[in-house]
Amino acid sequence: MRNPLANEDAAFRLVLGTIAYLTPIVLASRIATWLGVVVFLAATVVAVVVLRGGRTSSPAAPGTVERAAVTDTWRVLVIANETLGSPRLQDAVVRIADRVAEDVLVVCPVTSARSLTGGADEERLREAVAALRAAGIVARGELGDADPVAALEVALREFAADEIVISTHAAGHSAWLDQGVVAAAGARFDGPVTHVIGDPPPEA
Amino acid sequence: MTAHAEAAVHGHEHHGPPLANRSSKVEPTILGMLMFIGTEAMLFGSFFAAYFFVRVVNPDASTIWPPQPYEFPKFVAGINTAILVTSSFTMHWALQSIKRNNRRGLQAGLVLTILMGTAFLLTQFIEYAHVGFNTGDGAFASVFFGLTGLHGAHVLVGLILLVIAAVRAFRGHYSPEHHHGVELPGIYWHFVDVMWIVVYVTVYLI
Repeated sequence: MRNPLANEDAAFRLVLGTIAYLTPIVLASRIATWLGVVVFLAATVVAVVVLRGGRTSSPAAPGTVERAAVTDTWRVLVIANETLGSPRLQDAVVRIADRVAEDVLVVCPVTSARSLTGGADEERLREAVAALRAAGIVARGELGDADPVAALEVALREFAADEIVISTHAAGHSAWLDQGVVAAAGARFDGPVTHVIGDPPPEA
Repeated sequence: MTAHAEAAVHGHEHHGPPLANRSSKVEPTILGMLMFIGTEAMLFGSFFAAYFFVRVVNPDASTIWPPQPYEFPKFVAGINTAILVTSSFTMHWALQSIKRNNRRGLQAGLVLTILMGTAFLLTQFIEYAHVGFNTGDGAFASVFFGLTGLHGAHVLVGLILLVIAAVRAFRGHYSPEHHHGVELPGIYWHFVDVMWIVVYVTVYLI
């Protein structure tokens, strides 16, 4: 069921929908009371069908990219670490951002042994954000909690994402997939979750 | 690296009490507003129930409504409806503007919305002064003033929220990434608009 008050856009559409819903009822009731009742019932059925036609919260199939449904600002939250430099990840974000005003936040959950690799995390993040910006995408980055799901939750509190992109290694090589990070994101986020199998960047 | 990112570099290790558990997928602020609007819908629903009850038990209601010798100022209320619906458009424009980093558009949209909301309230007061009946003139009059007055009170609350949002907008508090302070009053304002459309149709037109 689509939430008609999920955000300001939806609430504005509710105003327009209410006018569209009530106008035929008023006109029909002016002609005859029974006709008004009939139109009321018909319009109510249509309204229920429209409200039930909302997006489902099931995550997107791995490897696919959900496209923006509106031409307004589309906020994309990217969760990635070791595959941050992956061309596949960048291609996926570029495709999502195509023809929409985008706002991309890249969150890099730090690895557990931050004392050893924190600098590497930050360097990967910096390069990934720079690459997205070079591709003309409005992007910024931040380091997150070592637990990718916790990092996702924290990011969503400040960043009202329309779509989440999670980049991991292939199955069998990904600790995040073993932990069920993609499924956990789908359970926590009422929108498309795109899973990208990213390759590590080629060695220089 | 942005300042945002730099701050995060030093702040990713969580300190203090554990984060609150969230079993809902909805943002707490959005959830709070939805619950509030749910209670509002039930409040309006009780007034609508009272209105329809008064109407159903009136034997002449099917042919003559409102009861003689009263009349509803349908035209003035129609103008007021147009004003309020237009204010939803300006509210939406304000939000779209800040999402595109157009601060002037945000400010102009909020100011226009406030002006139209104020015009709505003033027109409603004038309507009350000239409607020709008062709260003591029977159940019909009581429910009419109760229902429209309840809505007017909500418009007033919405205006207060919008004024706060406008002051913050002029102080530069909002950005394309952070504009919850406008979004939530916007949702409320549209809800108030929807309720008025329903009130107008059920009380004045049908």
